[in-house]
Amino acid sequence: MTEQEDIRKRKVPCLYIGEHPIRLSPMGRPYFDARGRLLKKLDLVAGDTLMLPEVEVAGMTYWHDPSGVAESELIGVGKAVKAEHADIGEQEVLQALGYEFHDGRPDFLQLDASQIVALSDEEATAPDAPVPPVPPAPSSSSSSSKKAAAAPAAEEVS
Amino acid sequence: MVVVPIRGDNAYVGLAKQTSGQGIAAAPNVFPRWLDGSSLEFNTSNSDVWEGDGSRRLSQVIKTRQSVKIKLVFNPRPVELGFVARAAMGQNSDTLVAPADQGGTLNAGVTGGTSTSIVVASGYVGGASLVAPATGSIQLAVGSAAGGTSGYEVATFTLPATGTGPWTLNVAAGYNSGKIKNTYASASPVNGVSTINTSLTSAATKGATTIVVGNQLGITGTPVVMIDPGLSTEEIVTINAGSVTGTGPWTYTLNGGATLQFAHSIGALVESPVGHTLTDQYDGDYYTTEVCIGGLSGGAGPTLRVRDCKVNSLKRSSKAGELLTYEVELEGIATTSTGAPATVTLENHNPFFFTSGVWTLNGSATGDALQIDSFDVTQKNNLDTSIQTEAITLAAIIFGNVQVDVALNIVMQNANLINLTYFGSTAGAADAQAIGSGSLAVTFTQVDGFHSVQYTLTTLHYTKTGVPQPKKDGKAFRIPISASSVSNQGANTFVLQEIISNGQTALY
Repeated sequence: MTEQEDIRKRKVPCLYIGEHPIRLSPMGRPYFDARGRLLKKLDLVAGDTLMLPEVEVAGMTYWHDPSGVAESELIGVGKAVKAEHADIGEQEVLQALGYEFHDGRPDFLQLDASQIVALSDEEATAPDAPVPPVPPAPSSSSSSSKKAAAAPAAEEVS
Repeated sequence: MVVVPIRGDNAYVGLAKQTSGQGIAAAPNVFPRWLDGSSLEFNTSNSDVWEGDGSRRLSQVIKTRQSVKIKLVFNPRPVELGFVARAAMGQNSDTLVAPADQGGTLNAGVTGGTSTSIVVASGYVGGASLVAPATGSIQLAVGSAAGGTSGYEVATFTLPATGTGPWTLNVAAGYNSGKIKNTYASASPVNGVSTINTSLTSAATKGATTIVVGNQLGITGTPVVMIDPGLSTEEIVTINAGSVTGTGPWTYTLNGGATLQFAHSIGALVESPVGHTLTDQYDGDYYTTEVCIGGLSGGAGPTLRVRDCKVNSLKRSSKAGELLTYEVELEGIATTSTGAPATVTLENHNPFFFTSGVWTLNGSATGDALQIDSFDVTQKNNLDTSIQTEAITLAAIIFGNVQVDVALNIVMQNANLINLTYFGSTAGAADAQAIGSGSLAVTFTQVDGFHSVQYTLTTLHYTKTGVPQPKKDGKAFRIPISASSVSNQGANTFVLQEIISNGQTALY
């Protein structure tokens, strides 16, 4: 798996914070909750957890060569830039250099490890294990605060 | 050679509003269930380069422009319907329908992350209803302008309020750890989000025929309410206001001998629908559209994320016995192939049936209004897609003129509409210059009585009414009618209004 594929497929625990019930598409099965347990039902309501690709909840950054010569790159999760552009803070300048920023989904919130009640192996394999409550997530209105740490080779945009 | 075909239904269309503005794509979070006719098409312009090299051969072709057109056909659910309507109507087109008996202002400013209560000025209409014996909780939009336009939060407060005006309301512990999220100045508006705005003060069991609530705001007649909106125990019931017992809390019997389908805990919210009024605006926001063609279930097809899309047209249509259908056409500026499909999440509500429509045509709910067998309301934003500067892609897209046209097919009963269109009035009998003028209002309400959508076109000018051709098969005559919605020389503030009632308290 290449580094870019790894970034795309890396999943993180998330909390559904949408206002209305949703149903996960059967085409995307299997789904797992924040503690890694297989979801038996596809319906989600506010307060349910789900493992989501990190790029979906935190967003991602692409770099497209403005001259059209080099191949496009997925730079990292959230707003990220190459090391040589780390000092450039202005978004407009970065966009002119070829960066394309993608915000994450507004209806999910990424959970910190401390917010997840870890299950023992026995609990995780129990067919109908009770779901311990997930502590309330911090409120957030901006995608940047939903973002995980930037990829190792990338620098976060302030 | 092994061939690995991919099923033609392995696809999705996802949408997201770009909250960070132009140039910043967004991961899709609205995934309408697509119908046949949906598509993505690259829209390129090319130029043949004929150079004199002594031959008669084309030298090369260069690409001069590239954008993307997306067409999505779907049967909208109540929440996604509002999302797409908002994209088509334009910026700040959504305003919350403020309940008549709830509204006022903050008596003092509040600090986000710190304030655990708000003080509502004595002018708060309905404030006296919030003091004891009122209990339970209430949801209020804090910081919204009248009717709700932007920059507010819907917070939950515990009752009773204290004071005699101004009133103090404490933030519920379950809302943002008991604190207001954002900072609002004194005199910022405070509004209710739904006419009935209360909660259960006693747990309700599955099969129960009554509910006990903490206040009586807006409960009259036989209103439809949602209990536990957004939760797995969400259900919609009709209560009978005349059955009330108690002096606080109050017990209401479900109408018609109905029973609860789920058990509900103390504190479960009980609300009537939240109304969203949308009208056509000056320009639209940018949206991201993601189309996956054959990429689900491990397929190798592309996932194309198109940023900076605006709605070029939205056709709302249906016909006898069918579902309400939306056909939305978007045009986007730039595309990224993301290489991985999104997590597709589908709205868990029902679509609308044509049979649930209640029509008012030219001010009358009878006559031709009862004989419509199909309709469409087509809104064209006439996007300006000519703004190209230094890139192969567009630099921007803006809304052009808005044009809303109506087509109706009516089972002919009389000559009224023919007369109106060509003879100036329904009783006219000779050629007239006066354009036939009328109006249209139609409301589709779901069986649950909670979710609805209403289209209002205040002034229609009839442009064509087809005179049906006689046929020997003897089947009924039908009249096709075309009309344009107009501002009536500026007298109307919109050419199309869409009022959506659902459970969403946030603005689109």
